[in-house]
Amino acid sequence: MLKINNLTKIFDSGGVNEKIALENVKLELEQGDFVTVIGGNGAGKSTLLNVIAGVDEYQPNNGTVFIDKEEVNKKNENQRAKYIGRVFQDPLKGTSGSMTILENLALAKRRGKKFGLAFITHKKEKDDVIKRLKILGLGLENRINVDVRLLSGGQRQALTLLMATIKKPSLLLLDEHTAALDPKTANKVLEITDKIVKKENITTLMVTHNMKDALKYGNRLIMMHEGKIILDIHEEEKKNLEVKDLLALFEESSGSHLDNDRMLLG
Amino acid sequence: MGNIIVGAISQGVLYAMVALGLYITFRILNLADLTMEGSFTLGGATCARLIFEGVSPLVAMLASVIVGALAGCVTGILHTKFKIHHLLAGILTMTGLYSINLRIMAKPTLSLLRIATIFEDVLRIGRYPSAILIGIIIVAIVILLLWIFFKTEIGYCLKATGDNEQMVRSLGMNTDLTKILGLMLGNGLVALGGALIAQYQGYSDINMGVGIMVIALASLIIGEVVIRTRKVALSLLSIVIGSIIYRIIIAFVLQLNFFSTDDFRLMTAAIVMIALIAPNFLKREVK
Repeated sequence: MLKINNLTKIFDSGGVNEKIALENVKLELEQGDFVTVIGGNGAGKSTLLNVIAGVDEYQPNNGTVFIDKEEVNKKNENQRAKYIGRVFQDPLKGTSGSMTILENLALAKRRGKKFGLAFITHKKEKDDVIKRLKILGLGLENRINVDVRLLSGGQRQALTLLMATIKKPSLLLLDEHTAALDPKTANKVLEITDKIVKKENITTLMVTHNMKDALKYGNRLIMMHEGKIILDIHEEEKKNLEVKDLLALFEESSGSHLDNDRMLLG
Repeated sequence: MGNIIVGAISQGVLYAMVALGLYITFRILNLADLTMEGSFTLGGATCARLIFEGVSPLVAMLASVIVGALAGCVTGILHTKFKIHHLLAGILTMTGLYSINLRIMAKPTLSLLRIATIFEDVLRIGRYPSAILIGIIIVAIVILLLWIFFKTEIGYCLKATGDNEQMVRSLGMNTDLTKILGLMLGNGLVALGGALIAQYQGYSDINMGVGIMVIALASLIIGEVVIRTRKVALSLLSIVIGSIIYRIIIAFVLQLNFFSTDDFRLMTAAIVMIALIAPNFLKREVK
């Protein structure tokens, strides 16, 4: 599904502010893998996601990215949209506020398709959209003609999640998608995430700063530090892990203390 | 007095075309596009020259739309592919267009005196009424086409681009293309407005585009104040109504003898300023 070889990303290469954001990162995901990604600030988590998504300023200096066994290095962000569903930290980034819920989802159903002069006929899509909205359990199915800007951050984020998955992606990228929400809403959105990912069997990379969430969700956990993957924990091993074990493992593999309060408190 | 109002309405209907163009670049795409000051004259110059050379008015107007769209395309490419700020990109195109417009007309003013234009009074109902009739037909066709366009996939992408570029990219659409397309569409309409006005006033002039953006902005904002809507079809209609109201306001103020036509641009700027500032004061009072 996703395969990354020797990925290196250096910002301002050779300049005074040179920063190695990713260093020889190797990662391979199986179909249906739900991988949580943790690490301190500047560990390279978001950079990794941006490189995979093909964002303009994130062309890797070295290495290759394969999605569905196809090399995508030469493809830009919008060309990779065919494979990738994405949810950002900022709830405003994933939806168009001046359009209705139905219009947003109707557009999302066409992700990766060539956009032409065909009409967006809502009638045809309405039933399917309502069915999908019910999965969220937020009552949005009764408000499909409401402008999205009137929704709360949590509702928008849940909607973005649905938009990213309504046409099943080969890879779902979640970049701290609950970080801007209050704890209760964050949990709700995480549970919806878990439900959709499992139901549709979507290969997922979820960046989080919350160690508990990283352990609770997914079947695999990777920890990043200074641009490298320093821990890669699978299925059974992950199930038996607790936050304090994770901290001990971190100190052992990185040779340093975890100084990110946000991660400890989570 | 009646004649003045009818004249104001006819101008309002025709200038609405320019405001429709502005609506696409400014409201839909969220870009401040000064190209239109040049593409308005470009449309007028192209149309006048072609009619002067014996081309039929309809074909001349179509040519105006195409060259206007090309001007928008230049600005769009400067902005998206070469990352020039949209304001500067528009100013660069506008500045270049000044020379091109002079070349097209071969002189600063090209008169269409005693040459048949689209505004021939074939029904014998008078100059202004027939201008209103023809103007309404053309504006109605354009609004209908725009309304249909904004129901298509690309139309939705255009709307989403002004709202949330990141989302449009995540959906697999190239936002550079949607922006270029929007600028082409907007400037095509502005040039069509220029073509209409040149025929209406009977000449095209190298300076006819100066200040046109603020004039269009006034129409747009007045329309939004009068009809508060989020529906595309109603927004488009409100622009026409705003444009007519704007012309009537100007006509009345000019009646006051105190002002002369020299004060026209100052009044326009004042109307836009008032329309933009007033909501702030109203909000404060509510608090």
